[in-house]
Amino acid sequence: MDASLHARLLALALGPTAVLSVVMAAYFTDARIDELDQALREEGRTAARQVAQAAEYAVFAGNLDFLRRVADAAAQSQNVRVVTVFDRDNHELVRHAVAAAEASTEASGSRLQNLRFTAPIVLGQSLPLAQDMLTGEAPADVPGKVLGKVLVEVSQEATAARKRQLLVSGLSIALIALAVSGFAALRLARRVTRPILGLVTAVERMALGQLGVRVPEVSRGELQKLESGFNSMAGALESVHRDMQKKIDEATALLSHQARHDTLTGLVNRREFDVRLARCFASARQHGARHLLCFIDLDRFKIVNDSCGHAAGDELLRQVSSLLKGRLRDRDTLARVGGDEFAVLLENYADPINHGVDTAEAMRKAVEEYRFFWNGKQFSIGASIGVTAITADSESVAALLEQADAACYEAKSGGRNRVILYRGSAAAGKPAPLPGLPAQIEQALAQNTFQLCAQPIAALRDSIPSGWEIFVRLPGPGGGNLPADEVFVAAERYGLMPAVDRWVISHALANFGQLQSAGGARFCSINLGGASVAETGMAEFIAETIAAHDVDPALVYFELKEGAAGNLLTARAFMQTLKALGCRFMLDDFGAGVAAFTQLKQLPWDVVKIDASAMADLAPDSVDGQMLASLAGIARSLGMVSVAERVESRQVLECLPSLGVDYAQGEAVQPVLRFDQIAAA
Amino acid sequence: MGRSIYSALRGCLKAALIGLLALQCGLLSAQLTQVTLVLSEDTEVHRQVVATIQGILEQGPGPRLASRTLTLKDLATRSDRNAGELLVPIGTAAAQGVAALDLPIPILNTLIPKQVYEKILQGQPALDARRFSALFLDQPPRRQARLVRLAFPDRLRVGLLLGPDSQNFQPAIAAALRAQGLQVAVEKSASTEELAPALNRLLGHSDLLLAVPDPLVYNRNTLANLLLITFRSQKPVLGYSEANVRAGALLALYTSPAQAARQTAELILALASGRASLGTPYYPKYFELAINETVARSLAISLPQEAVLKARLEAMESAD
Repeated sequence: MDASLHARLLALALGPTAVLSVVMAAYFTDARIDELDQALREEGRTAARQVAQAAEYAVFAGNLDFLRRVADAAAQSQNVRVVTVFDRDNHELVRHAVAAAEASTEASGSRLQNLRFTAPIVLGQSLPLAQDMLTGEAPADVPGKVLGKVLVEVSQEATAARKRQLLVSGLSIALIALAVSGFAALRLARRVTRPILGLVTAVERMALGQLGVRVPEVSRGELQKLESGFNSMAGALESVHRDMQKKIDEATALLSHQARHDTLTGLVNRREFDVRLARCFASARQHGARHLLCFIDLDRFKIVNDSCGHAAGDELLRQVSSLLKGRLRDRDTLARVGGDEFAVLLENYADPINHGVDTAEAMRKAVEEYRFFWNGKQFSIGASIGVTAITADSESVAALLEQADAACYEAKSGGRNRVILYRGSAAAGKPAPLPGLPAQIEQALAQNTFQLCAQPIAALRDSIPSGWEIFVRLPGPGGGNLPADEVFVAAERYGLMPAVDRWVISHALANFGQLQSAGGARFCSINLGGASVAETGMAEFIAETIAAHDVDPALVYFELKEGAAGNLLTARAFMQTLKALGCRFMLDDFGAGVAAFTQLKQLPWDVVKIDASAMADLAPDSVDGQMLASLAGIARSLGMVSVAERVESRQVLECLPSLGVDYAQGEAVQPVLRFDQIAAA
Repeated sequence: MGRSIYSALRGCLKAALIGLLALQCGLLSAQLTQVTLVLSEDTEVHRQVVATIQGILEQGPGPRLASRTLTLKDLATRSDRNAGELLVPIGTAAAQGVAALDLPIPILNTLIPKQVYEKILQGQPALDARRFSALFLDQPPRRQARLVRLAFPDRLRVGLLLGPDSQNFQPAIAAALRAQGLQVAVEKSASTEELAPALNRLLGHSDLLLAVPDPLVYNRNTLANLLLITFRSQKPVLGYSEANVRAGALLALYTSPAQAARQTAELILALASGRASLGTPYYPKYFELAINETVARSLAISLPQEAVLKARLEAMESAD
């Protein structure tokens, strides 16, 4: 690029000059050479003519002496070499040759031929001598008789030498002109290209990211404007770039922080915690360091969350976070790994078992003593803490997590609000069901070992059809089913819920016809977890499955728990998609939390299920009875039907119709049945 | 009237006879005994001439003539005079030099143009014509006129270009030409500048040019030009010397130095024997005829052989 610009400028400046000088030199040299040739020819012609004129008399008279003198005189001319005079019959009368062969002409190799000029000797052709004496009047009747001819040979040697001289001088002049103009053009081109090359280099360096590059503003005119323009442009670009980089850095830092921290509490999140745990594990394995891993599950957090709303729950979590943090050293890690679950890494304890348990105990105690106030209400909570040591003997990070989880589970199942140190499966005294739960769920999904169960939802009025709630139970190793709550908690925690729900949907709908024929019921109701609602493609999957089994969508209900529909927008979109198909939705566990009332308005529910298990006394005039009646009334006023679930006594069941409840479900109505039992019936 | 003419003629004749007698008695009272050849210049031609003259004199009949050769200078300084001496200046310069000495000795000039001779006589009226004679180089007009007739039978108009020195010859030449039935045209030129126009005019009504010696008209500088003019007019020139022919005259009648020498010697012998006298100048008896063949070819004129022409002329002259 630089070379070509320079070369182009040079060519631009030099080309015309070169062409012009060469053309001029060639032209003038050629013209001069032409003139020389002309002059030589003229000399020859003139000599021939003059000899012819002068020889007229002598040839006529046969005066050879005179003729010799004439020839001799003609041969005095510079280039004339030979003068020959012939008579009328072409006989040579006189031949005068000049011996002018110079050494240089011989040396030049190619001997140039003499030019030959002839002129006729005509009687009366001219009157050169007579005219001197005549008063101008020539005899009119000039006979014009040819007496003979003159041959003059003219040497080209002198002319050729002069031509060579001319060529050399012409060439020299052209070369000098070229050199001078070349020098000037070089300087001119350099004056133009140097600043441009500077700019080009600067632009290239800028393209490579060196934004601080500037060019010296040394030129004049447009180039100077270009240079200053470039500099101000570069300055602007640099400052913009600097600002942008700062913002990017800030955003990156923020993102990086957010990626590693929990937005609610500001604690390290699950992902970051996993990283640090892996680091601890590695240091334990490699250097024999000893650390401690704790899982903390808050007890009774759900109560706060349900009765006072998410805001209260969030506030509680924040306060507990700072409370826990106050019990830890700076180098320890406190992370929020789930809704009300925390994990703690206590690093580098010489005696992790004792010290670690002490620290865990201190935390537990702090939580136990802590009181949460919200809207004038006071709540007390607890913490179930599972502790496991990270030592050189630790198996893996996953194993450590399972151990801590198992210990935590044990703490919970052992009556909550306590610290349990994991001591190995044997030392735990009983098999740890939980650590294997996700695996069992996955296995059940893969091997179809889930037990499909159903419980009738009985209409309390004749005018409405009855239905079935369909759900699954996971058969345990000992024969009975594993606790349903724990299975679903585990499924939620390990992200298995959507898969379980899909399994239930496909199997329930596949066996829908069997249900219809068996119990005379008209509709079925299937539970969906919050993750399933949020999962992309779930609605489509349901629609396809309904279509695949040729089920009337109007007979398919889905049950969602109050909190399951976490994101209202997502939940509404999901529900509307399926409702457009004809499906309907039940709000499960209505009345257990505060949020349910808002959700009742905001989402298009069809059915409301009210937990009746807590209502011991459901007499129509009792408080519980009135509460149930009003809940049912709210539902009806919103165009929904109400279901009383977990109806466990005959007495409660009998009260229900009078309370305005439409359906009843529970042990008192009909116990849970396995599908194979329904089929057998 | 007729009587008076007759008596006048008789008077003249009488006077002439008396003069002649007196001359005989006076001049040749002393018998010619010595011939002195005078040279003004020492050239090969002159030496040849001297040798020829002396050779003939020695072999001549009768009493032996003493002969000697002197240069003009020697002659001027020598004072010995013989009574029977004859001075023979050879050439123009010698003639003029001897004439200037004004010696009282009979003189026979030889190899001299008639014009020079006459000029000397005009310049020195005191010279006694009876003692100052000459043998001219010039051809007699009648011979030239005859040659014209012989050589150019159909060219009847003869042009003469005369200068100041030659115009005196016009009557004689014209008469000779007319005697041959030829017409004569004459142009005169007083200066070199007038030559060419005069010649052009002359050639307008002439068929040939008869050159008459005249230093103004025919000299080294003018000859070529004049000849060229005649060439262009296709008119031949009848010259008076061999040099004329070499220069481009078609033909010329001339007497060679040898011929002149021979005649001079014969004349001296005749003088010595009294068969001749110095009275009238002599035209050359012997002559040559030269033709320029190139010019003849150029002019497309065919001439008889030189010898033929010469023989005819000689035959005519012997018949006279």
